[in-house]
Amino acid sequence: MMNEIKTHIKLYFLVFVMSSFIIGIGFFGIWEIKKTNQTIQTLYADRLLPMDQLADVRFYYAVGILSTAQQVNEQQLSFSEARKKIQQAQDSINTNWKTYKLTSLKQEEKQLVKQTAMLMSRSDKIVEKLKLILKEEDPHALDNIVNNELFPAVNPVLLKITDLLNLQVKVGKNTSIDNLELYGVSSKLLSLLIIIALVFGIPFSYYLVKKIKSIVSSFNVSTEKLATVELNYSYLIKHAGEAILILNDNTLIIDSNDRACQLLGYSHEELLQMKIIDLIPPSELEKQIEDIESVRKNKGLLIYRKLKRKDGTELDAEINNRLMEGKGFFAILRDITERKKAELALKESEKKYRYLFDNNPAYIIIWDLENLDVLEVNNAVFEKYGYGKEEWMNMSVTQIRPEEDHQKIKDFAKLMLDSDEPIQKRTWRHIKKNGQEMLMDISSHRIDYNNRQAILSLGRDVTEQVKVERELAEREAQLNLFIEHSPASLAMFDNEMRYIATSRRWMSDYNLGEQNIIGKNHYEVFSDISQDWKAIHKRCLEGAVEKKDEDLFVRSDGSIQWLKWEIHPWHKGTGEIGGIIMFTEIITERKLATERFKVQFENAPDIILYVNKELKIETINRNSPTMTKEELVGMDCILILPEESRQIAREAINKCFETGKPQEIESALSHNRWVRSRFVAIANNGEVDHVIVFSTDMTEQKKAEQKVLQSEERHRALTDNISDAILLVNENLKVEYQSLSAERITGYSAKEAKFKTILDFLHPDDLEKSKVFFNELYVSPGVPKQNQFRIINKKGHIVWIEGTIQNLLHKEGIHAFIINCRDVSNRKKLEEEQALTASIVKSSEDAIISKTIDGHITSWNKGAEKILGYSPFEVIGKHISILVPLNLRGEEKRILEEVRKGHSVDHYETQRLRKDGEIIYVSLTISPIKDVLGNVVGASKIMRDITENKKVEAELIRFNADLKKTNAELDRFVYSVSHDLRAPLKSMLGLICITKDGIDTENVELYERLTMLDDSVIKLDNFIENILNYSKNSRMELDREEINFEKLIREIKESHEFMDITKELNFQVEINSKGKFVSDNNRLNVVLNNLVSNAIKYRDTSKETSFVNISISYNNTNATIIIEDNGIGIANKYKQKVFDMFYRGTSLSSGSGLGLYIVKETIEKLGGKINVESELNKGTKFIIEIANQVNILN
Amino acid sequence: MKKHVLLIDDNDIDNYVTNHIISRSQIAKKITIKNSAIAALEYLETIKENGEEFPEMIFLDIKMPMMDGFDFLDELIKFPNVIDNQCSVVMLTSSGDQNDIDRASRYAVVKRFLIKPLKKEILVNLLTLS
Repeated sequence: MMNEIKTHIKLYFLVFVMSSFIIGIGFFGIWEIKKTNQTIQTLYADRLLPMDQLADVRFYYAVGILSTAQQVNEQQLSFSEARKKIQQAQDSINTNWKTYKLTSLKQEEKQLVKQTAMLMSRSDKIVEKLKLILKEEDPHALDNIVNNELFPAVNPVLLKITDLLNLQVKVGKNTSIDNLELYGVSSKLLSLLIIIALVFGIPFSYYLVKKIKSIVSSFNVSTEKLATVELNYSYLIKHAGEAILILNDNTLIIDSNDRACQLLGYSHEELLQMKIIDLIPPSELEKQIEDIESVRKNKGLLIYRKLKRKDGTELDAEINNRLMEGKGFFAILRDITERKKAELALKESEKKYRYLFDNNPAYIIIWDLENLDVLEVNNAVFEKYGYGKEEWMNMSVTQIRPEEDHQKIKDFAKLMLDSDEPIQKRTWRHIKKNGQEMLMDISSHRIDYNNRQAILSLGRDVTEQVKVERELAEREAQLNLFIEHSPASLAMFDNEMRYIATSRRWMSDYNLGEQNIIGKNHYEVFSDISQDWKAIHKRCLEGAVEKKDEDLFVRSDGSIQWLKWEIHPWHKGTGEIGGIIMFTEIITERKLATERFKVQFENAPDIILYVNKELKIETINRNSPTMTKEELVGMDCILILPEESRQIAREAINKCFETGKPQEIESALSHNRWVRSRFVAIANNGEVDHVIVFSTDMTEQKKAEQKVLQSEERHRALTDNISDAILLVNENLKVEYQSLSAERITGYSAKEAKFKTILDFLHPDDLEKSKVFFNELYVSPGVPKQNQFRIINKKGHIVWIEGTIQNLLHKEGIHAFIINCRDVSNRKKLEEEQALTASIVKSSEDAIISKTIDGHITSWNKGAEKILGYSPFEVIGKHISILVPLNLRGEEKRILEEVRKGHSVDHYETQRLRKDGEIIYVSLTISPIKDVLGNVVGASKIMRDITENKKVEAELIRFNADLKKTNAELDRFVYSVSHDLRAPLKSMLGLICITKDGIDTENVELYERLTMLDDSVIKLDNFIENILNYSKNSRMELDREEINFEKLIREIKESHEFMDITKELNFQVEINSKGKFVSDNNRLNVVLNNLVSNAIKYRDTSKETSFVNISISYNNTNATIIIEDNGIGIANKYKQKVFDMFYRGTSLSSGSGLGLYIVKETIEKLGGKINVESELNKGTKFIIEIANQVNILN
Repeated sequence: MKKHVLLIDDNDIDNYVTNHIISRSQIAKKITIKNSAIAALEYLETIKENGEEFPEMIFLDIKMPMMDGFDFLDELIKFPNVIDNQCSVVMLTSSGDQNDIDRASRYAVVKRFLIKPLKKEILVNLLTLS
């Protein structure tokens, strides 16, 4: 619509603009035309007319006057006619001239006019003259005027008028030119305007035209559509499935469709004549009227009305009545008779349902799945939970649950929303208003409740039930526990022979281990159960009780088992049989033992009788020469003895019965046999009721009694010293009997022990342990158990005991704990030491590895793991060679060889291979592991990683080598330098020498000079030598060799031979030796050489005889060298300075002053010291002490 | 009196001096001087057949270019004349380095180790060498 408005305005605008434009242009055009018109008017009035006038004037002058005059002159005209014409002409001229003068004149024109006027007036004069002439009709004057005056008078006028005419033409031309210009301009402007108009107008109009076109076309379309719609609509109505009636404003039916006709039974035409009211049964009329009003008001209404058919039947109809503004009503009729019926039925059922819901004993809650709000609850819930109706309507299902379940119910709601299963059964906790908690068994059904997803939950209060169930389960668990821990082998089965419960013992006895056989069938678990057994089971399941004390079973693998078994049926609470309980005891061992015992019993070398209180034999292991075993049973044991023995035997046996103490007698038996009989009392509940009699045939022994006694002594000593002690303790743990070894262990004799309980022996720290242990023994009779305890010996020290104890309290005749124990203190100590060793091994940083004799690794400590990288698991059992690099495999063999011989290998440096392939340097110490007999059974290796050390070592060696190299280079340098310095000097000396030789002795001067030259060279040479020595001394290491002092001194002497003066010097050498002296020969040479040199140099020439005494004495620790001379001596103040570098103590010195410095340095290097004693002019004594390096050499 | 003495030294001055002393001392009839151990060996090769000609005493310097005194000794002891003890060597060197002394003493043919310059007094002693 906006568009339309816009278009309107646009259109108006355009039209307006266009019109204005056109009008404007029109006006403009008109105006221009007017202008042109004006111009033309002007042209006509101002130009043409005047021209006409002027032309007239000219004509009349020319013709009217001139020509006439001429004519008259030629007598063509009469004078009167001529006068008339000339007067005419003059009149015309005047008129025209006047008229002309009245027109608007231009400037130029005005001028000309003035001139013309002047000329005209002149000519007029002539003309007047003429006129006069004419009047006079003087032909002569006429001729004269005409030929001489007229023409020159009139001609200028004519000319001037011609000029005026020309001027007019000119002006006119100008005007027309101007006009043309103006025209040009105007036309251009106009064209421009037109163009502008076109430029705007055309597109705009095009656009508008389009718009209009579209509107028009849409209008057309709408019209078309409308037509189509109308068509559809009528089609729709006609064929609609519903009955449709169109009513006009007065509720008259103006249209109906087929269906309506069908429904109501009327034909289309009939309906068209009816009003809606005609269809309504009288009963509903009023309401209908009301409803119609409503429809009018509300524009539409759904009405439920009964309608009357043509045939009089009524139908329930739903009328959807719509108001069509101004047109009437549109009604859709629906037959809802059926629906009504259904609704009714539904209502009925709803009522029923409601009743069911409300009065259900189950607790029903309907709640919304999405927001968890309670939607409905039934009466039972009201009563049970305690909340009122109002409260329920505002509650969420979370409110009736405990805190912890809130999330659960939310999750549950989510689950129900998403899951496919509409029903879930769960147990939930609900809380009543009063806070009481209940356990509800709820089945939740997903339903649609008013188009919302909801849950209908049916609950059952199972609080009590659950409680009961729980108690039952507890009880059952207790029962199971009871069964499980029963010391006996018990198993409980159900009617199908499936396991319900078993005792631990059952599991262990039948080697079932940790399997869970509960629920499994007995025949499944034991596949080799015989038919007989199955029959027994069957019978017991039917109520029989069966048992057997000893039953032999051959298992499927051929092994034999002896079982003592009992089977009882068990009854359920209802009284019927629930299954069977089996009790079995594997007595194979016992049986075998019994069998064995029997065998032993029967085959014992001794005669063994088991005698009761009446002295009747109950059992005997042997036939007597006269009677069989069976015959002997029941007989009086005394009576079977020969007369002479009866008394002693009876006494002994009675004593035994009375005291319970074992008795021993030697007695004779029939047939000259001697027996030693031992009577051992067997007590039951503290009372001796049986005696075992052991009778040993000692007939032979009797003969060799001494020997036997001896051997018995030995034997007894042996037995007594057998480590194991045997004690019998009663149920109160009182010692009833102890073997002799026991005394060794405990320190208490049998007598002393008798008043003690076993606990009295024990170390207080082990009391608890032992109590527990004995309790265990109490519960498991006949089962031997082993344990370790500490006891306190009578002397006070602690003894470790390892004992096996068997509870035979129940055993007929024994009624005691049998304790079999040994002293394991040593072992314990060993164990402790081992533990200590183990912990040392474990914590050691070094690798401690033990291996078997053939090199398989048996132990591997943490240090080994760290150093070599392998974990114990990876390496134990493997051969040691996995640690050895390939190129060193032979070494391992050699090591093992050494170890096998029993040798240790100490700090053997080698290389080993880590797990990651890296080779490390190690130092090994391997010692053999010997068994108690001293055989080598393995080796223990301690390996230290010295890679670092080795690295450091290698570096040190390298440094050393470098140093040595440097030193050697320096040496070579020094040597080269000194040699190259000295060689020329030597040459010089030689030359000087021979020159000296060759000269004339008279040439003293020359000789002196040569001598001085010689001295200088020698000095230089000495200096170089000294430097060389100094250098050598300070850097070189000490040599060590045995010094031969004689040789040394001799060489020094020889080297000084060149000094001519040696002949004058007395050289004394004294050597005192003890053993070997080891030092650096070269250095000693240097020292002695220097000192001897000095002694010679600084001898006192004033003295008659100069001497140098060298005395050397040495022993194992050091050597003392004294060099004494009687030379010039050293002044006291200079004595200490003589050792200084470059110090010369006398002006007589020709040396460099290095000599003694070097001597001191050298001696200090040798680890010795030097002292000087001197007196000026008397002599000097150097005392040197040097350490003997002989020990270090070794 | 030796018949033939051989001097081996690369230093001409030293040779000159030694030669002077030896000839002055008149301990030898013939003195041969060689500037290098190699030249000396070549020379000895030529005369080794002739027992008469072979020098009885050789004064040997140690420090010589190309072949030093010790190398020469190594070669010398292969000569049959030397093996037969017809020749003695005296080391004549400018420096009394102990190493050199020790090394020289290992050669049986070396009888003395002298420091230059040679002294005529010492020469007398040398005569006593075999």
